[in-house]
Formats: sequence, structure tokens, C-alpha cells
Amino acid sequence: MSRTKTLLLVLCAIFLTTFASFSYLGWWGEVVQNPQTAQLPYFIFRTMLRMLAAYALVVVFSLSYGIIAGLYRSPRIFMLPLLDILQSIPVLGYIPAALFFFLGFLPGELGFEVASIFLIFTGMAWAVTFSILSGVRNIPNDLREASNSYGLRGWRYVYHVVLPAIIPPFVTGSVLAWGGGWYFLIAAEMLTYGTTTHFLPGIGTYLGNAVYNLGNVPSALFGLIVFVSIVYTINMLVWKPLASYSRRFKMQTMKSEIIIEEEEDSAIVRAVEWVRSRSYWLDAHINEPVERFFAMLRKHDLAIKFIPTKRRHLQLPAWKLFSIYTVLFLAVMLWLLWFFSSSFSVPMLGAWNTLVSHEEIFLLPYLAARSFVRILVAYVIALCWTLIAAIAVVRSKRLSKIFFPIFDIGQSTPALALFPFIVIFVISIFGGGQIGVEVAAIILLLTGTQWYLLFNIIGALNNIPGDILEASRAFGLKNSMLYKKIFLPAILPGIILGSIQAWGGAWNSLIVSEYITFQGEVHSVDGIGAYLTKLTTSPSPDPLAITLCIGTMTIVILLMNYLIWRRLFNYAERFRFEGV
Amino acid sequence: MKKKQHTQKKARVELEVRRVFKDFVESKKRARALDSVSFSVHEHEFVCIVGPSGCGKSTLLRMIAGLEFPSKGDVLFRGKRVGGPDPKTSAMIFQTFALLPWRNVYENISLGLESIGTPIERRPSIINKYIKLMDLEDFSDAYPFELSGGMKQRVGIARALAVEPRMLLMDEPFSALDALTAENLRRDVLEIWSDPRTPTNTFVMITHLIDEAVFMADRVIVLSRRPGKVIADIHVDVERPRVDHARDPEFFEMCDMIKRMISYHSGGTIPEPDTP
Repeated sequence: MSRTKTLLLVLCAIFLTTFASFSYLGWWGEVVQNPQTAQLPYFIFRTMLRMLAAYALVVVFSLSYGIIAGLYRSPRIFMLPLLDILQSIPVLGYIPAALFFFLGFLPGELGFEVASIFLIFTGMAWAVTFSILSGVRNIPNDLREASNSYGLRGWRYVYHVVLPAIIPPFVTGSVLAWGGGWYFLIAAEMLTYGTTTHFLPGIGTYLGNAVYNLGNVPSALFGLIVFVSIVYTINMLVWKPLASYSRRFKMQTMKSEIIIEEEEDSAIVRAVEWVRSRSYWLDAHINEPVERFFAMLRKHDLAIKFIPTKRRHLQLPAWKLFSIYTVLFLAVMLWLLWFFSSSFSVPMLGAWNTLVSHEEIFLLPYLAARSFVRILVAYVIALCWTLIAAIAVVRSKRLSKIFFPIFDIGQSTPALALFPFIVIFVISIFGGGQIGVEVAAIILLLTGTQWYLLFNIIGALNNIPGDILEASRAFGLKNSMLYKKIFLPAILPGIILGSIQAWGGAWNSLIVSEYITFQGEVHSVDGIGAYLTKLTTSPSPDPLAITLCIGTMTIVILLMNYLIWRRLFNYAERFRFEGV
Repeated sequence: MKKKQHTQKKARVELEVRRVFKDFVESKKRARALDSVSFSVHEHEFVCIVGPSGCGKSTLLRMIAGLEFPSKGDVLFRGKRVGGPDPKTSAMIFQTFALLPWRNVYENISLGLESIGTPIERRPSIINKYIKLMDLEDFSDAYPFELSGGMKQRVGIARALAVEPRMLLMDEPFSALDALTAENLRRDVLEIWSDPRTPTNTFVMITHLIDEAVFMADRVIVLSRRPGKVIADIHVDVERPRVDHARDPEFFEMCDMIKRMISYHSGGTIPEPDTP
């Protein structure tokens, strides 16, 4: 069924079900009671503006950073670690600082708006930048050499070869980025600092307000349904067609049968194609001046020489790499400390006193460990169910048709919006004590983790080359042997990539999973996320403590990256299919 | 090379393809890939199926392997209908090699044995026997990405022979290789086929190269362009060992005749009157 038809069908189904059940339950009354319901269309408009503004910034940043770091070896030596560190800092840690910083020189509503856009930016930027960087690095050597020999060097190489080549990773990175953006939308629109919260007009606010302040469940559900419908529509109208369109830009190093499905007509693809067809205009008005600019730089010996480096991992001795990371890490932490201090107008070094008043600081390793275990439990649960679900769904066409829309919707649902419902549900079963909150925290963590795993595993399953599957069948491999010997090894790289992203998502979710405010009550567990929230919501935020907390989280994430994920990823290289 | 002497008529029929049709539904239109294809393959025969691209020969081979099923008609192995892939009946060699990238040469060859449930104690001797046969002794620890195309295909051949199937099916096995490697492998395959010690000696190969077919086969079955019909079923009388057509006029004659047949069926000129 065509995409638009599926979309309309699902939307109709949602609309009818909502209308029917709400009418039956008599909920419309409460929905209307919420004063913000009337402003919903305007709220939606504002949210979209915000997301688009943040995304525009992300595009500019990621293209510049990713391409430069991808092409030039010397900058990459420190640009890649820096990106790694920035990515490891939990987004929500920036909130109070960002607020005060931007409010410092942009008064009133504008300041809040800019802070919000900045937050969404930090949630989106790293995924896209990494994708672009690896896309640039993955351009095959022979293509590079051919381009060079045909005179495509420097900017022309970037324009004619690099930009098209990075379209597929750019699209996948953007899908992940928007997912991250939606996930944190509520936190980005209901900006909490100290004990006050400022509400920006947006869907996130509508949802958060309905749930946390008004306790108006029907209205919250209504908002959730509207929210999910919007995200789902965007996914179907923008990202799916773009992903499909971007397949023709994929690098094929081996003759493989890429089945180009008949692409459906789609507005967004038509728009992209229109831009590409105007390339002669772009050539004249952009390329010429840019080339002249670079020629001038070269004349004055200012341009960095473009050396087509071979595809090679950064082969630096371990001690060098370690020192680069340490220096950059300390630099970033120092910057954060300055950022927080100036935001809160608290002198940096005066904060030494607070080390004594905040004894919990010494508990940081313990708190980090508690959080780690919590994430581990959520991860194992997520891995188990996503493996089973992915294999079951990919094998059966019927199940695929039913489940993919459901998964799409699930991924589009902002976890923060689900929290209250989950909390109510869990607490009613397990009680409000430690067990109840732990269970709630783990379930909340799951929501931030599982979709990364699911989609990477499904992607890996779909990428198994046809001839390998045929050969396996021809040799009589069936059922359990087939799974054990073929499927599982083949999807190992996908599992690892998905796990890396899942853990990243989990650390970010910690901050909202471990410390839940609901109907005036605070439920929290022992963990580094809860501690960070406590610090940032206290009436007098302490920059040093916050920095130390964030620093600890970042170190743990970086350590995990190096000790576990990098090693696993290198081990999984041998499972990769050539040319895929 | 030993000359294989056998009389076609006395040997047992291993494979029978009986009035096979294959239809595909493509973008709401029904397309016929194979049209009433019939032929048999006898024990010890080397049969090549030739035809232009898209004529359905790959599909035909897959039906013989049990990976696909005819829309109409039967594919029978020793009288019984082929119900699915059975490595003891037939093993396939792929154009793209289809080796598992995470297994080395030894482990790749072992794949078929694992599937048919050969006891673990017996596996090393079987695998090493075929590693030796295919000249892979120095590479049994190597991974596919370290091997050249020719070597990868040798692994593919070893993997197929290791399960000692009744028939060996080959899907354009040499078309992804350079000319010199392909030539060497062709000779090696023929040597294996004619060796009485090889348990598998019924070979069915697909190719789009007519000289390759005439070089390798006892019989060449010529398929037309889609929908694939059997245009000719020719017994190749050229004596083995065969040299290529530059030196042997009989060889050239045979290749030429087949080419004319194919082009006639595509709307070309009428062939010579003595077409069998």
C-alpha cells in the first residue's frame, strides 16, 4: 500500500478511535476545560518553528564540522575526540546553564526561546555530525583517485562528490536526531531552573502542563495523540521518502542487486530534485565565488592542502590518544564550569566551600554505579525483546505490515509524555516505595533505549545479501541452525551499533527517569541522574557540584566507549558484508 | 585428463525437467519467465544451459535446487518431485561466491556438513580432503576478504563438494572472475568431474558464454530469450580434452551453430539446414 494511503488510513483510525472513546468516556469536557486546548494549533506552529530552527543550526554545524574533520587529517585528530566528549555530555545537564546564559543578554521571551533552541540543538547535533563524518571517511579510495585525476579537487570535490555521497548517512543521522529532539521536547519547552518553570508555547508545554500541573488526564491523552500523529505524519511524509530516495546515493563497491523499488511520488523528494536541477545556477553563483575564495587563500598560502588520505583508522599510539582526550576533556569541563558559574553568577573558585556542604559529592562513584546497573538491566530487557521481535517481524511479511506502523508510532512518542502514565501505573501496582520507583525508572529507561536497538537490528537483517541467504537455504540450513549460524552473526554489527546508541540514549534518559515529580511529590532513586536533577533544581545551584556530576557521567560514558564499544565494534568488523 | 567414456542411453536419468512453466507477477502484470521447458540429465553427464540474459536460466537452476517451484510442470530427481533444497541431492555454487564473511576457509567449507549432520569426528578428514583437492591448503585459516575471486570460488566449490551431493549445480560460476583465473578453474572443474573417485559426477551449469558451454559440457541446452523456451538440446560431439575454437574447427562449428540458433530465435537470419 502506498505510503500516503497508509498514512491516511492510520490517521483516520486514530481520529475515529479517539473520537469514539473520548465521547464514550465523556472526556471531551475535561479536554475543553484545559485553557490551552484552544491554543493547540498555535502551539503546534511554535513547536515546529523551534524544531526547524534548531535543525537548521544542526545542518550548518554538522556539515561544516563533519566535512572538515572528515577530509583533513590534522584537524580530525582533535576534532573527533572533541565530538566524542561533547556527545557524551547528557543534554539535560545543559538546561539551567543555557537558560541563564541566554537570558543574560537576550531579555524575556526571546531569551527563553533561544535557550530552548540551543537545547534542542545539542540533542540533535552529534548524531548528524558523526554520521556525516563517517560518510565522508567511507568514500571509496578509487572514487577519490578518479575524482582527483579528473580535476575535481578541493571545493569542487566537496560539491560534486562529497555532498552527494553523504546524503544517505545525513538522512539516517537526521532521523535519529529528530527522534532525539521529540524525545526531549517537553523538557525543552518547560524550562525548569531553580524552583521556577517557564513555559514556552508548544505541544510539549501543552502535554507537560496537562499532566504535571493540571493533572488533567484526558487532556493529556488528547495532547499525546495529537503529538504522536504529528510526528508520525512527518516521518511518513518527510523521512521515509527521503530515506528511500537517498538509497540511490549509496556507495556500491561490489556489484550487488540493489533493488530500486518503484519510488512513490513525494513532495519532499520533488523539492530535493528541484534543488538539484537548479545546480547549474548553484554552480554559477556559489561555486565560482567559493573557488575564487579558495584560490586566493592558496595564493597567500592560507588554505590547508587537501591530501586524499587513505582510508585508515586514526593510527595514533595509545598514550597520544589518551592525552588528547584528557586535555580536551578537562578543557570542556573547565568551560562548562565557567558556563555554569557565569550563568548562576557564582564565582568559580568560591565553590570550594560547597564541597563540604555537599557531602554527596563523594558518593558520585557509587551513584554512577547504581545508575550503570539500572541501565544494564533495562538494556538486557530491551535487547531480548527487540531481537525476538525483529527476527519475527522481518521473517513474516504479514507481521511486517502490521508492526512497522506500530513501531514507527512507538518511536515517535516522546518518552517524557509517557512518564506520568507509566508512573501512575507502576506505583499503583508496586507502591510508592523504592521498588516501585526503581521499576518505574527502568521502564522509563527502556523507552529511551529500545527503539535504537530495534531499528538497527531490523536494518541489519534487511542488509543480509540475498546470495548468502540463498546459499544457506540451498545447503539445507533451517530454523535454529539458520538463526544461530547465519542471522545472529550477520546482525552483530547492527546490534553493537544499536547498543552504542541505546546506551547513549539511556544516559540521557537517566536525568528524567531517576527523579520524577508528580502531582507535587518527588519520587527518586539513588543515581547520578537524580543527583544532577536535585542539584539543578535547588534554589541556589552550585556550579562546581554540577560540573563534577556531569564530568563523572561523561567519564563513565567515555570509558565505556573505549573499553567496551570500540573493542566490540572492531571485533564485529569481521562480520561485515563486503560492499555493504 | 582422463577421457570419460559412457553411453548416454544406458545411464540412469537423474534429473527430469518436465514441461516446466514459471510465471512472475510484476507490478500487476503477469510475466512468463519459462515456457514449457523439458529436458533430462543422466548420471555422469555434464550439462550446460545457455541463453541470453534474462531468459530464466537462473530461475530454472533454482527450481532444480529446490529453492523455487514451477508454476506448472515438474522437476523430478530420480523420479521424485523436488520439494525443497536438499544438500544431499544437489549443492550449488554461486556467481557471487556467497561465502560467510565471519568464517575462514575451513569453517566455510564446514557449513554444509554441519547442516547435513555429519558427525563431528568425521568432518576434519572430509574438509581437509577437499581443501587439498582445491589447492587451498595454505589458506585454510584465511577469511574471505583476504582471498581473491578465484580462491573464493574454489572455497565455494569445496563447500559444495564436501557434502558429496548427487548433483552439482553451478550458477555462472566463472563470470565474476578474470579470464585467466576462469580458464584455470574450468579445467579444474572438468578434472574433478571426470575423476572416478569424485562421488559427485552429474554437473549442471548455467552460463551465458557459448564457448564456455561447448568447452565444458556433454550436452548444451539452449534457451531462448524471455519467455525461456528450449530452442535446442545438442550433444557436443567434440572429443575431450577440448581446446578452444581458435585451434579446433569442430569446436568453432559447434559454437557458431549455437550462436546462429539463438540469433534466429531473436529474429535474426535463418540457420543452416543441418540443424539437429
